[in-house]
Amino acid sequence: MPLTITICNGKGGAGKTTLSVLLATAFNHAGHAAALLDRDPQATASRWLNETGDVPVAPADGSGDHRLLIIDTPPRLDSHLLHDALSQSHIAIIVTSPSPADLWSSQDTVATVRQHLPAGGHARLLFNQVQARTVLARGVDNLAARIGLPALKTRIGRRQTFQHAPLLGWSALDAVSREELLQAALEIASLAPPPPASS
Amino acid sequence: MKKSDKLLAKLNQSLAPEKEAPTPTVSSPSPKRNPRKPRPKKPAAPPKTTRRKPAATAPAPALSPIPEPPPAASPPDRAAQARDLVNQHLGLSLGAGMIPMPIVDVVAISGIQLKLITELSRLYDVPFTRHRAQAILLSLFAGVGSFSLATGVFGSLLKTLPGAGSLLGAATLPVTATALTYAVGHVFIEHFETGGTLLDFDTTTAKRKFEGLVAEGREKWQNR
Repeated sequence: MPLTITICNGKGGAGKTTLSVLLATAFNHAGHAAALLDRDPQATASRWLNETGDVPVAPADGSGDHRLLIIDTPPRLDSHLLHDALSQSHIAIIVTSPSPADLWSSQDTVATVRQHLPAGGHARLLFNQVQARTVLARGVDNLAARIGLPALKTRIGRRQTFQHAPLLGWSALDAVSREELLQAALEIASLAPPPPASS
Repeated sequence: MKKSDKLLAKLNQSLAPEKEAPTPTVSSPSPKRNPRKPRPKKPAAPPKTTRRKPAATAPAPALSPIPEPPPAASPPDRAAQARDLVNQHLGLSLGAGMIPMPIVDVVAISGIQLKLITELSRLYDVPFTRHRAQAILLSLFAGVGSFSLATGVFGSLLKTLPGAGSLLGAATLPVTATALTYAVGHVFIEHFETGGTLLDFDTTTAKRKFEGLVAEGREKWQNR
């Protein structure tokens, strides 16, 4: 069974789809064959990958021969698509920006994650769209404890290149963006042992 | 109180430590103010001065236990941990090497190796200066014989270094990036294991070892 990672937040706009696709791409570049399962009815991730082809899109039943499966979920806490995704995941990543609205939503999302992620699963916050030297970025350090989940040490910045990526894919990204994503991917992968490599 | 501190304090307060699980409902527009019972005004919430509070101070009501950070490595384990660090970064440099644009390649490669040196320094508790680490990296790369790098080159950086090898196709680039990271990692492990720091890093002797390690690294990853 592939290492399954659900990317979630009950509120739209935090960067779930962007990071689902970019993290999956980063994993592929780091040598861990990853596929993306698009469980969001908006289907932005599918459209994106149709455009760029950076990452294989897993079929709806999640089958396929890859070591990692990243699941993009809808921005709805009451969605059974989210609940199902969590219940088959080893890792849940709640993506949030430092904005108060996203933080409030991520706190609500923690409760949903705790309800559906199987025992032994790992859950983390991932701070996204962090702009250096802003007041809210400074506040981010203390927020994880408040929200109720540990945060990944890597924080993803707010970058124009991420806006270009749905059209141009990984090649839209500059070196700093890529490193950031690779570091986040590495940190996520270190949470749980990957499945044995398929021959 | 500064305006920004006030903002952050308010933000912290707005995030209640314990929230009840949301009841699944059909989506309805959320009311303007929180309908739950008004929070009691906390008298002077302790100012959060520590930068990195250990996570999960809120009691987890269910399921997934948050893993403890690993205990500090005792000296015999440290070398093994250091080798693990190098291996992790090899994966990164392999990925970064796929970038077709030369200038971006260079930044990505050095960034990963700088990151590796940062983490090795942290592991061995050695003071780290980015400037010093960069200088060492540059001199190591400049010193590698053109033979070792002749079959795989990383664009602009080599062009600017004296005695640099010729520029060749990107097809062999990923291997070189990994070989370089491998060599950097092991040169530094050896230096730190024998009690060295970034300040007493002797590049002349290191360069010879480095060249050998790059060749070794290329051998290992030629077929990857």
